[in-house]
Amino acid sequence: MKSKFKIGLFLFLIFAQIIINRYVRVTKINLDLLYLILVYISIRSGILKTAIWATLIGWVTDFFTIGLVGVFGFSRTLTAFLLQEFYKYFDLRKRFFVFLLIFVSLSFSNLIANVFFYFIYGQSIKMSLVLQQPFLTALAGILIISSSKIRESLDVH
Amino acid sequence: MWKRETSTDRKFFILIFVLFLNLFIMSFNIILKNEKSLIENIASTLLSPVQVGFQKTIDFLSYEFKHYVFLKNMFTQYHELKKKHKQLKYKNYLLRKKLNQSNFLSKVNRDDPSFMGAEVISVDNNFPYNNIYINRGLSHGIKKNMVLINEDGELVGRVIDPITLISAKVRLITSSTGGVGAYIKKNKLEGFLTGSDQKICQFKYLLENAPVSIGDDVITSGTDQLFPPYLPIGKVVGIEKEYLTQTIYVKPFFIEKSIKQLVIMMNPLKKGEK
Repeated sequence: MKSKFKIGLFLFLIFAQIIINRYVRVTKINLDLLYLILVYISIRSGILKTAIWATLIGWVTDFFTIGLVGVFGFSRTLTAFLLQEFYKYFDLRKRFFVFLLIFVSLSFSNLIANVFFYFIYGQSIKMSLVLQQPFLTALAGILIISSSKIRESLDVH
Repeated sequence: MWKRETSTDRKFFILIFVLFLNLFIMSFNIILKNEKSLIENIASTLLSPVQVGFQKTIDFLSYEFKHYVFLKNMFTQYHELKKKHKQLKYKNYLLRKKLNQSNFLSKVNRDDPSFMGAEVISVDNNFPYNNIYINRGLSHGIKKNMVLINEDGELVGRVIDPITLISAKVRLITSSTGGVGAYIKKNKLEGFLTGSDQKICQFKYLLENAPVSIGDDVITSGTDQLFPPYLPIGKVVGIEKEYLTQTIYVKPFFIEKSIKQLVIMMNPLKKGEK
């Protein structure tokens, strides 16, 4: 039952991400809900599963962005590994630390991607990628785990 | 101790392998001369049915909700009027174009383009002025370099690879890759308009003494052999004069409008045609 709920939640996040991508010009909201899935997998799973999911989620993000497959694959994988190593130092029972973890890690991941975009396309560092998106994504993460039902099915208390 | 070291080594090797794989894919995928990318084609073919599927689901649910909650007749009438309005707009554009052609291009023998509607299914939310995806593809007769305009007949971009059966990628005129042959409508001052992945495009290296004013209209010239001539692009919003040249900043019309619904011009320009 819990695993079905988890799968349903992840599908909902993917669905929501596609809708957000479609209306980003109108809403001006830049979120990466797929990253929340990656954070959960990094904390809960082993090294191989984390690597595979980080690469796949990174490639999907690449497809939705400028189209250079591999950039977000690289940055998300690196961040997922670092998340696995450092999450133990955060008290994830407190929402503030969950927010901080998501914000800092996504900011770092997007910064790496931005560096690649700078060298390949000459794109300057974008504040929306480095600050706005991590902030809103972390906020969305906090809102999602506010529900006790979701916390129970994800085993995060 | 030995087990912990092996576990750490294993982690390290997996990390290095996956990072190297991504770097390899990246280097394989960097497009240097606008050529097709095999990996991008594969990713597009795999993911576009998902995007289009979700879009159709949303449209269906949205349609059913509106259909039954609001007054049924008013909804149908509204759509019919909207459809007629669009058709009249396209006719208006054709007539204006014919008028221009009869004055300046009487030697050109060209069929009138037909149009196809398209919806935007995905926007690059990190670079929203670079590329978009539409829900028309090879099965609808879409080909590379077909031009896209918005509902007001203003230039938006052109179709590029990858084109799958049900979707296609569109490069906007605000993209830093590519450009548009254009001129200032008032004085026919011609140049090449380039984007910078921002809201504003630039005409670079025009002669400093050429008269340009803020608010001048910019239209396509057709000299790039990609975009048909006389399509409205935007307005001049800034002029920066240097020693012998000037840079003119142009804001495309489509920037301030919704690009949910677009129109594809189904006949791309043939080589040598203006």
